[in-house]
Amino acid sequence: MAKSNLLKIMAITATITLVGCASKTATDAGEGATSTEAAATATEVVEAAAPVVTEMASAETVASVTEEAAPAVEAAPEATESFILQFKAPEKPAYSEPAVVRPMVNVVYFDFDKAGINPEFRKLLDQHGDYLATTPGAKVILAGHADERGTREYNLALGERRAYAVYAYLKLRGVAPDQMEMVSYGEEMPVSVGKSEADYAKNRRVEFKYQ
Amino acid sequence: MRNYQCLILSAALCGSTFVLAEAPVVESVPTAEKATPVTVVRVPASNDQAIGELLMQFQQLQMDLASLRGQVEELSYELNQLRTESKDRYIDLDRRISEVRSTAQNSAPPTVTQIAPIAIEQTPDGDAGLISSTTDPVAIEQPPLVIDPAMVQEAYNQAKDLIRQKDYTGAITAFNGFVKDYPNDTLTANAWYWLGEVYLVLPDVDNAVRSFSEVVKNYPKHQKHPDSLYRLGVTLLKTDNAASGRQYLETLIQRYPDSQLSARAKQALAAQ
Amino acid sequence: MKDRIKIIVGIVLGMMVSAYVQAEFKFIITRGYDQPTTVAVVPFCWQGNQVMPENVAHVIAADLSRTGQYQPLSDENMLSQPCRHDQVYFRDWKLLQQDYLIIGDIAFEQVSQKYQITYRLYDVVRETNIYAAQVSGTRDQVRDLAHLISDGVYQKLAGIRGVFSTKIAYVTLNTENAAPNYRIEVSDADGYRPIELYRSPNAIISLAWSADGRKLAFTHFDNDGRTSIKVVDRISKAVESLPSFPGINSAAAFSPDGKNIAFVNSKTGNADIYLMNLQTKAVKQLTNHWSIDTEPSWSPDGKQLLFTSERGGRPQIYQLWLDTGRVERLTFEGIYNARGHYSSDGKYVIMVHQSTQSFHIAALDVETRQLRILTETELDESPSLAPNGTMLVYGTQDDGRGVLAWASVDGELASIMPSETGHVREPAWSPYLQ
Repeated sequence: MAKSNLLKIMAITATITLVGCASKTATDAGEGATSTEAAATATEVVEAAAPVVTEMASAETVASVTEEAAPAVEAAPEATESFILQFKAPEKPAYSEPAVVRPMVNVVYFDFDKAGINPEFRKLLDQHGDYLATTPGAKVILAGHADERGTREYNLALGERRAYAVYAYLKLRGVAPDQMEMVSYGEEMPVSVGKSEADYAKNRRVEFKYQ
Repeated sequence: MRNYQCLILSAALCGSTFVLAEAPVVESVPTAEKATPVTVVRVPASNDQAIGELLMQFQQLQMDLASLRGQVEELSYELNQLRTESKDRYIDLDRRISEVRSTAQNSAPPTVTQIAPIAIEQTPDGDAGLISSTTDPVAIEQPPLVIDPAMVQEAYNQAKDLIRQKDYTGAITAFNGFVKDYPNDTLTANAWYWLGEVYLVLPDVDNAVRSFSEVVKNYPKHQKHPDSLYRLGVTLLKTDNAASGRQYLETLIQRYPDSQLSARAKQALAAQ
Repeated sequence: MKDRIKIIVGIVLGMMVSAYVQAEFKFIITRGYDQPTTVAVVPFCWQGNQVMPENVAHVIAADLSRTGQYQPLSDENMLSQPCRHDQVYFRDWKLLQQDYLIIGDIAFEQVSQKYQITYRLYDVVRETNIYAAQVSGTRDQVRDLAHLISDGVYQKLAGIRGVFSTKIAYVTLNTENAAPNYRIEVSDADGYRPIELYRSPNAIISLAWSADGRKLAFTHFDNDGRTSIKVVDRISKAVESLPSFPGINSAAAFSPDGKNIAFVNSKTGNADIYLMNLQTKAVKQLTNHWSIDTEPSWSPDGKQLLFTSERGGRPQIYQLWLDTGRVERLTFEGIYNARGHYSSDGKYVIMVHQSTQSFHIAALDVETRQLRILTETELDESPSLAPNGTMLVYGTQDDGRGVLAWASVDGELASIMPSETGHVREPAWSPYLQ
């Protein structure tokens, strides 16, 4: 039981690590798949990831974890590869679909002192993600905000964390990191200046600012 | 890019399921040939769905982990405190036991040794040596003749602390006790003043007026006199008795013309 | 209105902003010590032809009054107004129930073009001159001289160095015009003589003094919301930008030796604490956690850093030992503790504290771990201690407007400083200035 738990954790860690480190994942994938198209995509991703220092900094710490966790994935090399192969086919058509329209709603809200994405906004985030992923030229600033309760510095960090939560979600939806920039205004730019919970709720947000 | 992320994620997901689920998966997967497209797709219809789900779960785990960490921090802090406390208590107990032991070994009766210092203080011209046991009970039961100013201050501070802790009923009891116990202390007027303030919070206007009036009537030279005049005036202005409220404020302005309170009193009167 | 009365009375803070508000803001004492020491500051004698730029005695009286520990006597109630030792009749002052008496004499030195003030402090009850000193300065410095005298008197009476000659920096936000206007100002500790150091259309937060009181670091937002740390010189007003990194760059804190700056950056995806050598600009990461780590603040000896972290699920204050990297949680009371700052003697930590609903300023005794709540206003934030540790200034709200307030660390006194327009926030009390 203990062992299986450990393995589970390792596997999840591996998953998250792989996802979190886009460049690394892409390279691995390139090795697995033999098509030239895949290889091209991989290099493109590496290039795309380069200017975003967020990636670079975490890469070092993440790298060691990846190595540790690797056996969990490698335990079934054939399995992994065969899965990769079969997923390719059904995924393809999604790309050839007509261009996705940019959603009208450009803001998602958060709970007090929380930076987790509220399930009710997932659909909206998916729409933004699909739009950005299918419109590589589109660029967006994700501006995180907090309500006025608590200290300004903590709220600045909280706004950043909220922006990052949206960033991470969109990245998983296939949006290239260089399409997105995160900023935080903390509590400095409230949309509602009242003191009620309703006012505060309006201020705890991430805004999509398309460039 | 999207494609590969999805693939790897799913692969990793399956990898984990694979390891965990042991038998069934192990059987199905190795048989799958590399080139053969297998129809057994055990991944949800939408991979995106799975990714989103995973991220949410991850965030949830982070939050849970953080709050667990918080709890561990708190528990270990409390444990540490308890440890120190129980150690102190043990040392204290140990000290007392050894005290009792040494007293037991001593032939002198414990009652005399314990009350002697008090008795000496109470009767300074009495015998400084051993005191006969018959006088002891009298000495103990006599109330202290001299009020200890430190004790008064302590009682006063305790009452004031209750206000700070927003225990208003407690503060009222404490201050009422104070004015009863120490009717002639320099702090008595302060106590009446604070009583008034606390009654206003409740609000119990009648008692507030009564308390402020105590200061206004009985302590005309006290530092809290102008404050009480002001509060009394402003409070009465809002009652049927506005006329006397006005009177108090005018008295304040007359007696303390250059105080800030007078400026406020003027404002209050002007606002009427 | 009823609620308002309740608040005012309940917290015994008469927040009635009186009408005499000028361009500079003033302190209004809204709650005081029960038995302040009485002190008479007699108007200082001045024989010169020019009008004195300041009423020195009034500045001193206001300084002492603002501590809440002293109650000055108004000029009108004085029976006599001596300014030399041989003119003092203790009987007069005893009659007026004064504990102490301050007299002074101002002379003008033609050669140096300086004002020279000789002052004496008397213990009325013992009928003795307990202190006498002389200060001198130019016409522009007369107000400084008054604060210096207050410092001398306070040192003698309270046994602690006074902070009347120190400064307070703060951010003002003017919302009257269409475009917001943020400014960094530095005023005397009593709120007078504000000087503008920096101006921006975007938000400014987190002012921090260098240990020598010469420089102020702050967080600047650009038009797109990116933050960077800038340092402004208090005297020359020259502004230097420190290197920026992706993500937030904020919460700068000068080390006591002035060589390093601790700050917050989020290039790894969330806020962590970093150290920058001000000379070489070399950067070192100090904390590495996936939760928020922010608001670094140095211990007086520079060996530890306090910081706010939500690694335990909620924001609490932690302490980091710079030599070993050991991290220990410091606060256990309340659901939100942030922006911790050590007192200059290292004995307590002041912070923003939330126990149930409101945010207050609290002081934690490091030794006993006792927490004391010092303020009773709402949404209190950004506390900054005076260098002698007796008072603190903090940001709070009055009718939805940002104002600064004072509190004594013993919890006995609080006062609101009303301002003319807009918001005043993010106060930072300077260290002792040379």
